[in-house]
Amino acid sequence: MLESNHVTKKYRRKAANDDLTFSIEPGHIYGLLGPNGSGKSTWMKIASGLIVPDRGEVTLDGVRAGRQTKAHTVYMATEDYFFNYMKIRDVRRYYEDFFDDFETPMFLKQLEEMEFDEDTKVASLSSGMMAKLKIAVTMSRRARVYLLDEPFNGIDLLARDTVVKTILERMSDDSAIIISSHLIEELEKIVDTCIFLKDGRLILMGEIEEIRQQQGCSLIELYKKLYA
Amino acid sequence: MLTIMKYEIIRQKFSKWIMFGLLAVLEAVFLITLALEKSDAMGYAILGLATLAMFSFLYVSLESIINYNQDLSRKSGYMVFMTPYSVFEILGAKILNSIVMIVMTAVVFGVTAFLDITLLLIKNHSLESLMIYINDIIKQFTDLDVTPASIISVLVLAVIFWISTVAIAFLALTLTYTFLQTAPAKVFISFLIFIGLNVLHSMANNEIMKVLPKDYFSRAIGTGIFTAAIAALCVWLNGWMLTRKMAL
Repeated sequence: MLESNHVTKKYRRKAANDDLTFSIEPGHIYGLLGPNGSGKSTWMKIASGLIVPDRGEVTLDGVRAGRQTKAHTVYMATEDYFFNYMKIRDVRRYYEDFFDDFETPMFLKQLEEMEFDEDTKVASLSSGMMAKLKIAVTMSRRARVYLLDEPFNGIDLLARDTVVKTILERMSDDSAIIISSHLIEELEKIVDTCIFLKDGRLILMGEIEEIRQQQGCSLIELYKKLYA
Repeated sequence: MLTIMKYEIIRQKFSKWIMFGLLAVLEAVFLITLALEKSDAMGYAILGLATLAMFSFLYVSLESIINYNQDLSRKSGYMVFMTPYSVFEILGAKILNSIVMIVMTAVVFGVTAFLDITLLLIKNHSLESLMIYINDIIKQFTDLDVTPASIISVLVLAVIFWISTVAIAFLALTLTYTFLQTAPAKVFISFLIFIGLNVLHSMANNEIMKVLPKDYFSRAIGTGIFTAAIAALCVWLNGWMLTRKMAL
């Protein structure tokens, strides 16, 4: 479904992504792992069509990532990105206006579960609340590919549980979810396949169970072994 | 593109509320003082309206550039650039929006000024003297060598020049946030780049003027085409940098 073919991206002389080649298949949740500067966010931005690689390409069903694929791909950045003037209601309207695959009933249901008031200004939300809102609005789109960049950053355990629950609820056979995170324990609970990046290169990819059996250790131990 | 423009307008609504709020207050003061024949206070109201018009034009002209700066400097840029449009469509919508806003501001203040002057003349003179005044203005225009074609060409040139100004300002900001992203005082640096690019544009325009025929329309068409080409080049370079060099 989503193909990364020899993707290379350099900022000045440093390669953020270096010849990244792998495939993402529907029906799976992928963990994109690596320390800061390993190229996770850069690859996600390329896959979402926000930036263009220097060499290679990412394609969604054969279509190069860009204007066309943005309609079927969601990228959730780590940072808070809603406009300051917005209330939660404005966020919903924005997504309704721009994305045909946005499911309003799903979003409203999630707001209710998360006990949000649509009149709340997004600028007044705590980091945990903001993380929940971001995941709610992101996962309310019926996209082919979900790219979640550090969705657990800076939020407490309870908020993390909500985020995990929302992600799992959206999982379907015709879409793929790719999550980058430093919090391996959280990822281990939900992902079935891992992609390890180091200095912009792919160093290991496989299903978690296979990796555990082959390497004879847990994901956290493997992470330490690879990046220590 | 219309949806992008809609949200550009929504983002700018706060300043418009303030602008229209102040206009309403000053206009009310003007009308009350006109009715009560308090000429001193009316003078202050007219001065206030003129000052408001001047600052409104200045701010409305800059607002699209301010918003674009926020898109690049804050993470709200994701909200804009993740929409299912190309960067060229997004930049185009932003530039178009800046023109629409200026035209709308001109219409609001133009209509207000026309109505106020009309009321002032009716109050102080008579309907007959108002008609004489309007006739005088029309006569002055018809005595001049002003044709519909020349009016249209001036308006078209003004729009092209404004498009190129915004496109150059956007380019200056993108240059700063890509190649000079570690530099301090980015807005100031962008301003210097903007001035530099405009000087280059003017110099090149002057050179082109030298080889063009001396008649007004040839020069207008020549400078219009050149400026439009510069604007298109700036938008293309900007789009290229946003997708190739920008780390949002």
